[in-house]
Amino acid sequence: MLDEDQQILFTRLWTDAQPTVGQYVASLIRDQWAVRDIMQNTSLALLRNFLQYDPSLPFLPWALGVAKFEILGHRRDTARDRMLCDSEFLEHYTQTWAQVAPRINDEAAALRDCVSELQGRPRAIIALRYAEGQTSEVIAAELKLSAANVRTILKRVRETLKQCVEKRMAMSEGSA
Amino acid sequence: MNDDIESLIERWLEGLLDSDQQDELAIRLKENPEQMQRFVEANIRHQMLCDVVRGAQVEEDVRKTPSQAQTQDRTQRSTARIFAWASLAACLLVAVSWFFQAGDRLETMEPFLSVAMIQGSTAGELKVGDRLGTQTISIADGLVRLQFDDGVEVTLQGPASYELIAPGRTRLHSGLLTATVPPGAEGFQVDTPTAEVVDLGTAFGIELDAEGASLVSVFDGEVEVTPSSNTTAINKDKTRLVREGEAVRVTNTHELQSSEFDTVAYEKIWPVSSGIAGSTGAFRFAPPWPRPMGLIQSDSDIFVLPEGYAKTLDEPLALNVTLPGQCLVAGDFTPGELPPGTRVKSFLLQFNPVDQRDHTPGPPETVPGPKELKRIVGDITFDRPVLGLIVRGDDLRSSDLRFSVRGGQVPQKGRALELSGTPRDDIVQLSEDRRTVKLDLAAFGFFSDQVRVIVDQSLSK
Repeated sequence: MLDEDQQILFTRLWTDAQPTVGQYVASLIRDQWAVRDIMQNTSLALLRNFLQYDPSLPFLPWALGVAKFEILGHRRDTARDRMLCDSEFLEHYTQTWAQVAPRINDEAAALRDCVSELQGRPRAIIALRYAEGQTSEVIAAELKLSAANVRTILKRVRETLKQCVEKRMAMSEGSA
Repeated sequence: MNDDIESLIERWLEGLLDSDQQDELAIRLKENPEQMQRFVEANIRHQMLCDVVRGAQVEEDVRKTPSQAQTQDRTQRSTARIFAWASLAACLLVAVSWFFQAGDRLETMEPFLSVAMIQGSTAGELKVGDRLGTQTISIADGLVRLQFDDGVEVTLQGPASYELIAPGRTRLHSGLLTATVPPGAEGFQVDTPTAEVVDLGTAFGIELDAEGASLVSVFDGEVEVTPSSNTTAINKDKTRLVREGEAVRVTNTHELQSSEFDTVAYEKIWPVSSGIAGSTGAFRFAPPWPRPMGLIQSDSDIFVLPEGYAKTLDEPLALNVTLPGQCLVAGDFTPGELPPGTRVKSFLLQFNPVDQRDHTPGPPETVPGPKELKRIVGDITFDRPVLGLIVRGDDLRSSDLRFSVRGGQVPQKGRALELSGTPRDDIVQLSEDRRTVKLDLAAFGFFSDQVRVIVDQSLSK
């Protein structure tokens, strides 16, 4: 059993890491319900095994490793099964995620502001693509555009968002 | 190779890769840590966008909820009133159903653009500053400029009929228009009787002729033109990408043909489409489409050169004149700084007399001969407030990179205003209402005069 200090430490670390681990699982598993199950199992596994965690090491790689193990035990996502079966690929992918995510996750607040500035068709298209998970083909049919056109617009909107995020990050660093 | 991996990653994110393609991608990523890094980064950004966009949708839903509650409340109140007034149940039914219909109409009529300028037009009841939603605008003559809330600007030349369907979706029934679509508003669409024109981040014009054909001319960037068929189906396979300096014509039989790029039809519309309300004296407008701006020379005109799209400042911008009044000497300057986040558009006013010393060997003279000094006067009025002017050489140069898209920075030498109060010096004046800039300039030889005008472009929210 964890003592009170350990429980507090676990809560703090897991609260910080959870969004990143959730994104990692969602990137490999298409089914939203399966993502939820895997995240629940991951939470429980982390809690049960927390005494094995070495607090001198970063928490995120350890949490991602546990989540990877839960994904492997829960292979329902047929669309991406091929990549998940490749344990060497999955290992590389998980390690790289642990390295890259902390750097990019800082941009979330700026990204929120930048997305809120989008209006009109670009906003409608990113809502269909990212909130509803539609493919460019489906969006194109809905908006009477060509799929290539939707991809071009998405690419430009992502580029606009990237520039907006970079500016905001530079401004907040400047004022910090 | 890089495009190839980007496209593979994009298709993977859309779930479009088959088993073989997934195997190929996994092999490449395992062998190449740099590509693995890009792959993971693309996945993280994709997931972050999913979270952020879903969050924004939820916020929007929450924001809408109180207004629905209010509607319900109002419905209940009006229902109570109707009970008091009428004993007939039928009356209640009619009134309540009318209320809901009116509510639905209000929802679709939510405004998404403003009237920015009307010039010489009998535009019915339209007034500058009016907020418009779904409706059709008909003008008999003159020019009307519309500013959409996402930054798209459309200028109509009458007689014209233009239908506002939804944000980003419009239809030109007759007449002529130009549209400027800034980054972030791509996908703006104008339907015509014979074609669909989808903007991919550009400036373009559409002219409908008497025969019902649509002529689409692209001034900047690119647009996608698809002939619409007589049925509702769209001929996607006939879509053509039209680039800057190109034009296509879609005939009344829905044939798409290449056409000569000719901007004569837009000569009248473009000052208004650029945000200029009027001018007197020496001002002349350089067209906003491809042209070698720095080569423009004239002894009798001040050229107005709009510098690209409206943009939001990402760092402070130093201005030399920020308050109404006249500047005869540099001591009259009212310097200031615009904060980051201000949305502005820049215009370069350039007096660049024909250089008569082109063939004279040796260094250029710095003192003009009596016949070489040119004096020129004019007023120019913008449709939005002028936030400030840049006239000092250093500040012109440092702001070039931020505004001058293509060649406005020529000439580089001696282009600052000469402000020392002598008869051969320059005078610049900003009107009390901040809309009009008056210039009284002197220039000679290769020495020209330039003023960069920074105009407010804040959007309605």
